[in-house]
Amino acid sequence: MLAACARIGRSERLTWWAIGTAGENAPVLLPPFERRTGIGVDVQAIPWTGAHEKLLTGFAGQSLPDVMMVASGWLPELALVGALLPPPAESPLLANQFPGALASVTVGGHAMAVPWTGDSWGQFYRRDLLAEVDYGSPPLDWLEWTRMAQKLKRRHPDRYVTLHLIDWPEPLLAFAAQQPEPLLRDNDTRGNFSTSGFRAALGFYKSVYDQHFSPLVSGAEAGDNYINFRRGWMAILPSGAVTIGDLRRRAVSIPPSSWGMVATPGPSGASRCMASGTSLAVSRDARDPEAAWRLVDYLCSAAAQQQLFETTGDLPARPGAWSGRQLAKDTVARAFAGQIARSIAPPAVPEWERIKSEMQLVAEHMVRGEYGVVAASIEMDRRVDRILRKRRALHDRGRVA
Amino acid sequence: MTRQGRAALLFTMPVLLATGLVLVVPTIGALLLSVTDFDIYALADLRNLGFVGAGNFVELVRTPLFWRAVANTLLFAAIGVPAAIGMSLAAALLLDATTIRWKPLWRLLLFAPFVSTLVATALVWRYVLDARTGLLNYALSLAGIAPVDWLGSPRTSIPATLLFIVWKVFGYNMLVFIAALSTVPQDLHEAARLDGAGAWARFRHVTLPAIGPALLLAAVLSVANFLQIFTEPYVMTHGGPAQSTVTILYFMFDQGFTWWNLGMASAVAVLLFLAIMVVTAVQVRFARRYEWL
Repeated sequence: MLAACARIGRSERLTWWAIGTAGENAPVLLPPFERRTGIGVDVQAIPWTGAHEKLLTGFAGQSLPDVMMVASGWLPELALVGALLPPPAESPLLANQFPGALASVTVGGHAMAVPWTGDSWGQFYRRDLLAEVDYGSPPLDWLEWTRMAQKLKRRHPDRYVTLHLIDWPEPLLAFAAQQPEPLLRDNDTRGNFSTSGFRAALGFYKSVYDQHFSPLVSGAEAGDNYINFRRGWMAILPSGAVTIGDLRRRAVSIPPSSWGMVATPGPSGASRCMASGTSLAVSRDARDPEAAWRLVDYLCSAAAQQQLFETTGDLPARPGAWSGRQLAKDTVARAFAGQIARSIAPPAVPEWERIKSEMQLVAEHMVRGEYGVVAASIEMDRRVDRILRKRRALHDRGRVA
Repeated sequence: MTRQGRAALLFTMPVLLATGLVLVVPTIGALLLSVTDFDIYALADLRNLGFVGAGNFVELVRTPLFWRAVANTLLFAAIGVPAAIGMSLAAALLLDATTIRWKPLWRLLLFAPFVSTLVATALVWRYVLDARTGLLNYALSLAGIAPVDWLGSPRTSIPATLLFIVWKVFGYNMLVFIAALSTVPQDLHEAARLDGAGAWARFRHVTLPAIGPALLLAAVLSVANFLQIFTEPYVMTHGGPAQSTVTILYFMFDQGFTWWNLGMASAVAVLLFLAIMVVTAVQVRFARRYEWL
């Protein structure tokens, strides 16, 4: 009977899985929604490191929540297994979105979720350290950036210019997004890493390590990025929007005037970036889909996104939510907004997470000296072709679009 | 069936049922899965499921990372099992010595790591092993040794992880050995001493035969446990740096729960199952020869 009571008690409340700092701060966001609608929400905060696995095992164990925050790159997998209830095509939630953000939630021609936070990858830099070598901000093209890095390195040989964590694919993807060729070819059934554009990006990525501009460390070894940043271990911290909030919360030790942010450098100036935001999806097994969509609608409102930005630094994915006063005048946020508006969606295949991870592993082996740039790009193609083998076979039989 | 037989069956039935349900059925399921290409596409639509026979095993044999995982696991076991058992035995012998005082306190302190939370202690050890701010490198620096990037270098990541694992698990076997040591008759020791046996000879010919069965049990369980190492590298290094701490189970977890390749993951499980069975059989034969069983 206790179990029955618990079930009745719970069924009136929505469940929501939220990831990372958004999850930690979700309790701050929800009270207005609960007051207005009378719908209770149980939030479960999940760290990023285990989130992907948790969603998959949640699906396999039929314990997915009503509403889930997901990295948009995971949508193809979740859509393929039928875990998601797509928003109605005419839903106002899908209107007025950046094309890149909308593309990143689209699988097989249908939007499977609602873009929530937009993200990009930029350079957070220490103004004082760059001023020592007469730069106001990090240059945006690779050649000039390298020149600046060499000057910084000469001045402080024992410190670093930037921090590319060796187990994080973002830095390489941020460079790769700046070149015109797509990362997969033949209807997303083969790797496309041997193009001159990708090789150029890979070459620049390698040079950052070769010239010791970045330490060769993984996230677990580097320790707290912000302590390292404050101590000047590196002058530039490449990161996503989450760092805006993280740095502002540490305003006492890292004053807001001491740092700035610009886009990731490209071969000839910063251009496009990889859409890497999160979206809100409703589970196919949601007990009350209408209430679930109301929660999504609330979380995507300008007011909620403004509050989210103030607490975590997470930026809204939709242009409409940028009207909030604070967001509109925030220069760092504006720099991200420009990039989010120009972002492109990663390939919409369920194998994408694995491809990213495999790509980064080869890149790590390359940086550690096992491959040259050309050999590494061929190895990436080889491994990715193998991952996509089943997709190719199904595609040939007409079973996947 | 006699009345006694029926009663016996009745009493054992719950355990047999539970074992069948949670052990035998899943094992058969894994065996079946291992000959299919069960993956995310099959999960979406069972029509996408194909029978691949030995395909997964052939693919595994051709995957360099799998062999890397096997080598890493063997390295973990080859260093870890002797180190853990040696440490347990040394601690047990020390605690068994008559000159030691406050034995219950020492026992408690030495056993505490075993019952503390794995993830929490792993995090603490990550701080201890930190290359720049870690306690271990600080201690080494006092002895004039240059800092070592314990978890960051592929060469030291396994020894560093083992340092933690041995510290974590040795308490259990220590207790087993203490119990076994307490059964060694004191008069045998005294008789051996009167016959002129030194400390080593007494250990070799009096203590060791007496704790042989306990030693065998510890060895069998330790080998099985070390071949199934997963959580420690998962928490401490995420399999890195450069996949130097990816173990067989870690590889299986990645295949199954990160990439949905349940067919492939099951093939790994089947191979690991067979490997552990073979190793255990060899250990038992070895023990029979020395009449420990």
